[in-house]
Amino acid sequence: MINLLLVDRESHIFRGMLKELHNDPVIGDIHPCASAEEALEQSPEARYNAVLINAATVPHREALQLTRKVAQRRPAVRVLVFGLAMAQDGVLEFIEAGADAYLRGTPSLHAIVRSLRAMLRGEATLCPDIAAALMSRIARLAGHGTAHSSYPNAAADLSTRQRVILELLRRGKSNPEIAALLFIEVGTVKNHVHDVLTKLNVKSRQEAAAQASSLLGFYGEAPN
Amino acid sequence: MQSTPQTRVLLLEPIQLLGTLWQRILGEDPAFGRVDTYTDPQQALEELSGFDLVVTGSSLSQEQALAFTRQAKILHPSVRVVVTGIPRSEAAVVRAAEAGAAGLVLSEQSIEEAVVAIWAAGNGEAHIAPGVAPVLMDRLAKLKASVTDADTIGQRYMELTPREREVLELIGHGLTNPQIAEHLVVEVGTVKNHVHSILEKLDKRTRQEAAGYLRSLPPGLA
Repeated sequence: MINLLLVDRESHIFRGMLKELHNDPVIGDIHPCASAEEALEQSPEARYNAVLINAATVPHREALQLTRKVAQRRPAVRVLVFGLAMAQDGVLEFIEAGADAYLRGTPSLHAIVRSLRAMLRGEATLCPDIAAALMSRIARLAGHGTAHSSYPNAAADLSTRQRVILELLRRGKSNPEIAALLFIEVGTVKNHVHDVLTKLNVKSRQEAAAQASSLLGFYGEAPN
Repeated sequence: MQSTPQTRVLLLEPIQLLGTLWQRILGEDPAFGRVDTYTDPQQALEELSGFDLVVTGSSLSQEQALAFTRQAKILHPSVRVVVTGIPRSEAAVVRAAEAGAAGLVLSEQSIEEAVVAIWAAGNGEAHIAPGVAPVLMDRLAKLKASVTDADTIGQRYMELTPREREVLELIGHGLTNPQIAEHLVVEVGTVKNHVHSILEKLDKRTRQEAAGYLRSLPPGLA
């Protein structure tokens, strides 16, 4: 049974939706709220397992804040945001805030209910563009896939493996960290680091990192 | 994007027989141009620059696939990697995504699903099964929460190249792109690239936010 906290500006569409939702057999209680503020003031006893936010009528910042607060305070409660614009950034913002499902544009009531049910089953549908953007953000926030140009191949005559090591040095990784990332022995990493320092003719990994940054900076100047 | 250029695919599959099967399947698809199979990860890394997309075969261990993905993304940030043979566990899915995979194929998925995932990655998209999506959405929310306001020591600033720092400084003074271009005696397009890269690295949406970030750094750092 889905017990809903429905956050939407009062309107005839909203009232119509409320009525139709009431008629849906999988929907139990509905607590309507006209604003995010009102939703946050709901007493902790209010029993709902899903929050449905209409991003087309609730001001952006409020909707985002509400999503974040629900995700933090009541992690078991699932949040579905609908009425989002098509832009990827906007959707990602809500996912980052902790939304469990989203629907862009003006979905039918049928689509909303279907999403709610999937969401409570622990499933979510990601559009291909959103999925790709989500994957690259995860990689970036996790410290990989940093967006910069490739190292010039001729950079101090480094081998492929050594260029990888140099970039990891630039990111401030320790030998054990590098070993764990590449699934190789710490001793092997030490050998590689030694070779990199020798080839770059520097004494410390910090110096190597600084040189890597300037190599990249220089390369960044080249016309694409 | 241009009119659908063919995606050049590098297959990394230690078992020759499986590589040949893959090559046949992908070779039939007009979406893919050149399809080459490599059995050795190190050799594949050396040859990576000629390809848009990498598929790691499922006979590689997950460790090998992750190590390969990380290195590929370091050497060629624009290459997209589809990792196959991922066990159905939250940890495995998250690790592959964090390593920089553009597509995920679980070991339980069919060859058709795998081809769809590869095809999507070739288009800069991703196909994520509904049962897996919440894992990734959750992970993004957690990562975001952990990095927000956690940059008091200016770690992201350190990611910027010297030239990008210079551009950021000028953004901080409220200069427009053409003004920055004039100041640095470079093309406006070059400035735009720098600004784009700065926003990416600092994880900011607008130049105003980037300027605000610069002001928030402890004195002496910037």
